[in-house]
Amino acid sequence: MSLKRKLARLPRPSISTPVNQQVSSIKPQVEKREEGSVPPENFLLATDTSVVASLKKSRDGADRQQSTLSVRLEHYQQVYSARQRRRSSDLTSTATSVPIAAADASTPEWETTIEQQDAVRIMTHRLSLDYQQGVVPVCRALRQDTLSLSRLALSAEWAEVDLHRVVFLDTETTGLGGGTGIIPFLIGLAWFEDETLVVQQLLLEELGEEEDMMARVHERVAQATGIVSYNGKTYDWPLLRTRAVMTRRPPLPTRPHLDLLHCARRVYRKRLGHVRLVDIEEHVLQMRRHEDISGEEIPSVYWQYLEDRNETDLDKVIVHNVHDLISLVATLVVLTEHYTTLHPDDDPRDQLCRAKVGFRAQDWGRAEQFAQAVVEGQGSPEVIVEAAVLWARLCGRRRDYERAVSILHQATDKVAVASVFAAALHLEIAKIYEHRLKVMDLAWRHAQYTAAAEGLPAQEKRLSRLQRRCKRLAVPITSQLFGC
Amino acid sequence: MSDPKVARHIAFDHREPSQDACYADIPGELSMNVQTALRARGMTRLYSHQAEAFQRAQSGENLVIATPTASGKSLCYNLPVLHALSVAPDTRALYLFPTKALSRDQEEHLRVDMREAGVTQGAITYDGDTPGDARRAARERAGVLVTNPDMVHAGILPNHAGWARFFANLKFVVVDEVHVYRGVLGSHLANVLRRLQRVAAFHGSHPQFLFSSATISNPSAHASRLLGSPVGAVCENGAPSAQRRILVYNPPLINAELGMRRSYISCAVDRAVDLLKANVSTLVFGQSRNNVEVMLKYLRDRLPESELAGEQIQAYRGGYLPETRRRIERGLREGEVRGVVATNALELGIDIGGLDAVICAGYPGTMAALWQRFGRGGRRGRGSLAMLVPSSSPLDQYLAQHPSMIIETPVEEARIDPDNIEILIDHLKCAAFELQFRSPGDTFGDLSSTSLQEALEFLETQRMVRAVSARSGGKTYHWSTEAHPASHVSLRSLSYDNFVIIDVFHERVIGEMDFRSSHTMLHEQAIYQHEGQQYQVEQLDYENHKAFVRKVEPDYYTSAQTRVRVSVLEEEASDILTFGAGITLPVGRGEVDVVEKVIGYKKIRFHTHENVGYGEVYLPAVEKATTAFWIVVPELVVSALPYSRVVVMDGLRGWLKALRAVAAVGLMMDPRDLGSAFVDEPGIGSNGEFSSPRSLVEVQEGRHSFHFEPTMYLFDAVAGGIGLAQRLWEDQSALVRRSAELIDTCPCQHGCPSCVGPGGQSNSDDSLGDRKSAALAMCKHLGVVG
Repeated sequence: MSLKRKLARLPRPSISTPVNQQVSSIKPQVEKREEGSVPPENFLLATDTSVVASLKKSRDGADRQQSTLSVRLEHYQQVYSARQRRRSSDLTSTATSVPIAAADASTPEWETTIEQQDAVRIMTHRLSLDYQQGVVPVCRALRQDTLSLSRLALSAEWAEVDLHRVVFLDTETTGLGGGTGIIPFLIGLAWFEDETLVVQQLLLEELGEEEDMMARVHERVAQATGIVSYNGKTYDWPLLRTRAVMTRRPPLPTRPHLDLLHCARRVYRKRLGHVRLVDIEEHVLQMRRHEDISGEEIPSVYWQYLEDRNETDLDKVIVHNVHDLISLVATLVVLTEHYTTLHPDDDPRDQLCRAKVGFRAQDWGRAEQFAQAVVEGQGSPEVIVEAAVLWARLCGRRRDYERAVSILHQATDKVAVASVFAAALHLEIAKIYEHRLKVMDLAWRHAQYTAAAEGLPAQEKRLSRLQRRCKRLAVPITSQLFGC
Repeated sequence: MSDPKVARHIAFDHREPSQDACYADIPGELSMNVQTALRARGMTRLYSHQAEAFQRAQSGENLVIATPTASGKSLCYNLPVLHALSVAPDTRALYLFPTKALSRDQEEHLRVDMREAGVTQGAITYDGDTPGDARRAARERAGVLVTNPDMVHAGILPNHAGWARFFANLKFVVVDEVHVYRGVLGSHLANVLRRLQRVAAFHGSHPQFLFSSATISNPSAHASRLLGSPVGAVCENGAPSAQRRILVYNPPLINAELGMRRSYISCAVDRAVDLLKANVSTLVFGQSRNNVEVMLKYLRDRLPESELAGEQIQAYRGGYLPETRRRIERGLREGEVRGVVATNALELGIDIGGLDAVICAGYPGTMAALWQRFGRGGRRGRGSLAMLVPSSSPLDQYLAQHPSMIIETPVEEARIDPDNIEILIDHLKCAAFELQFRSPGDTFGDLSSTSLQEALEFLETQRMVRAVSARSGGKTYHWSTEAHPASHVSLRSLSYDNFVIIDVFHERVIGEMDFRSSHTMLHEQAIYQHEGQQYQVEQLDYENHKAFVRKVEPDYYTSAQTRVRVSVLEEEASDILTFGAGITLPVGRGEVDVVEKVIGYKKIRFHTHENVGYGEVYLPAVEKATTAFWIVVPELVVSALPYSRVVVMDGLRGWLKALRAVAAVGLMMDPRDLGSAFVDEPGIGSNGEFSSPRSLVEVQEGRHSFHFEPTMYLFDAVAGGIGLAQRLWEDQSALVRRSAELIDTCPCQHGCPSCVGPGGQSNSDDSLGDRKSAALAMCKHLGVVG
């Protein structure tokens, strides 16, 4: 039988559902806000219905060629500026500790230029100087302390990186996971020119034509002093390296790579649990995207675009990518600023995490500062206990054991002396008394309360050891700590 | 064996003489480092085949080394590789072993060889268990990468850009135990090699291939088919061998008239008990996982703790977790385990040291496998004992009646069909994911350019690939979905669609089973046997591929009953067979649709093997399109016989059994690869025998909807077929003649399991005739036998 007939008999693959179905399931979600009430968060796009309507109208228009994106972006700017004006007034009424640029007067804007070079469409967006992502003005990225950044990154090489020449990277790909058959069809790069953030996107208009796109990426990375990404160490960068091989180009230049996912995870893990970029946007940058496309829909949008060249849904991907990049810059700002200087109103869980980062980065002063803020603040008992133990260890590092004990006592008072939370504190005190200050009877007294932290068997071992040592030193151990 | 009670049933006793070695000098052009290493090991010369392999490899020839077990095959492929690593340090080599276990084992040996030869590039095993750091080292530094085809398929090729340096310097690909890659697995491997060569060419290398194989009759043809280009064979064995005594113990007849014999499983266990009691370490091979577990239980029951502790007898089969298998292998090497009952999982060259005796409970289906199993005995140059205990299946009894076939028959050909449509399409998807196809221009192994073009266009209509007009003219086809095709394709139907077996009491996973076996072994209420324990399947979560089992101690095991339906999709060829009587017998070949469904199970009591109950099973049917060969018996012939139609139909069913047996042994096919079905009524299904006495067959036939005649089908058990139907077609008249001879020469009266099956029993009261008489009368009427 001919191959053709055998092929005709093969069961239909169920590997992908029809693309157009997936696409049509993307439904715009317009969030409503009651007039007069103070919104819990600032929204990226205001629900200024007239603007949204005009946006929709233009998107339903017939002309879907080159101009569509610029139209789309133009409207996006209109909406955005409406939001900007509105938000600055909102913010005055909310007592947020996040510094806000006094950008009330100027109207933010970005200029978009589109260039078509063979199979690559180059979209360049220049953001205004006072552009804010959520509550964060992006240009402040340039003013960040790179030493602090290097500590957040747990990587010394970032101390010397010139932030004016860093490139931010985010790609949209034809599938998840790696492999030579997965292609970054939209490569987003962002960098600063003077004070202006330039976002440049390279769109692959046809498969198999990646050479020019890769040449541009190569050139941009070569000029940069470092790469900043969100999960790019695991995902985007290996993918780009693969594409360099597949297009038979020289390997991409290696540059220090800062993966903000790892930094964000270290700082926000306790408070947020998940630290996807959208979580950071919502809870840290205080914004929520409007009509955003979800990650899993992106590949099928691209396949559909290659088929029918309809830009409507592709635009969503392009805007999504622009926002990923801007949020990346904003995240860098917030992460660094709140680590460089202590913000007393920050969530104690974040502060504790920052103290731990400081500890790991051997940034002792900051670690102590953040730990102190937590111990003296209004956090939950668990957070206070963990911070106190950390702080005490930091004191121990400089052999100030008296101070360590007093910190632990202070925390003990705060979380209720005999509570289960206090067990860890008593354990720490017991250790310091036994091993450092050599006051066996006090160690013994505190060891009475450590069961919840170390378990009964360990506590019994500790107690009997301390008893022996007291005996040897002829120290009486008659009284208990709290006189009971 | 001298016990007369035993000796009476020895059907064959052959002493294979020892063989002297044939040596050759160490080739002068071999790198001095390697020469020194060989001499340091006390090797002043090589076996002739080792020297030959090196010389021919140096000339750039692709080679397959096909010499018996323990003849120093690995040195044949290691020498050219060590030499190349020694003179050109950038050289990379890829070693493929069929199983993870084997690659771990060989890596150790290879490392020693490399160290002694002063080769510092290192050898690394790369498989699912390799930790991240070692993976990087493997990619960047290892001179020899030791892995398996599955890992190349799903791990390396889809990410080949990360292996750029490796592929650019890839000089040798070694594929060990190549006889294992028959049928579906072989057809998959051929496609993996097509992809591998394509990717290597992208990175600028054209590696040389070195295969090794146990004895098969067509090593060169098989390896060439796998590679898609010519491969020369090195077959002259220069290694010495120790004496081996080969015995066939045919289980005694219990009822000669019915051809009933004692259970071969019990007999194999008896002989193993004799040997183990005499302190002879013994390996017993069983036919199925189920048999292995039954025999383990019997052996442990039979040997009192005082003589041999339970742990000294172990089972070894697929489905055990890796650590369990490692533990048993170690026990065997160190001599703590004295007896082991295994499936073919132990056929391959895993180092388990030497065992004194090997017993095969049942003929493994091919001579190649039988010899491979026998080869596991006496590895340290001592004499050994090898025994076959045939079952009562026609195939086994055919051998028992003609035991000299064991030493006279050439071993089987390994057969694959890389262009099996389902396999090919799966791998083309993977290949497109790895690298776009240019058309015209690109090739895929030895696939014709027309077929490649058609397949790519098919994938395009499926929106799996996207065709782009290239600037330089022609088209390129790019992978165009977000799926990772390799992770949806399993080379051995042994990964993503596996069923997981969960012990509900301990809440832990105790094993896995492939999709097809799970239907017959994991249906609800089935007794699942594992490491000598019985578990009952309480719930089968078919959708999520989970079977929940609980330990029980029943006095029976279960055996599933399958129903099969066949319909012809397309007749590709038809012909007329004529024998002495001048009556025509239409035969055909083509595509058929086969539906198999497990409908119930029997409960069979341990030891007595009596049927003690029945239950129903409700599982979805498994459907496949495959190729078949069929014989139509004209209604005129049926009515010409002096028997009732019912009896004639039963006779034809019996004849089909004989046909299948002969196809397996006479035409050298693995019976597991061959299904059979009989249809005796148009349109509606009917029950009949299928493949084994336990199964029922429902056959539906659409081809002769107006003019119907009974038809016997033999089909490829593998979806899409691997060319067996074609092979049967080519030898159709020999097939029919030999099957008739088998029935004619069988000593039973009314039919027995060894020829037409025990169907005679049910008709024994029927004075009008029995199955065997009917089948024989049919053959005589047609003039096939005198």
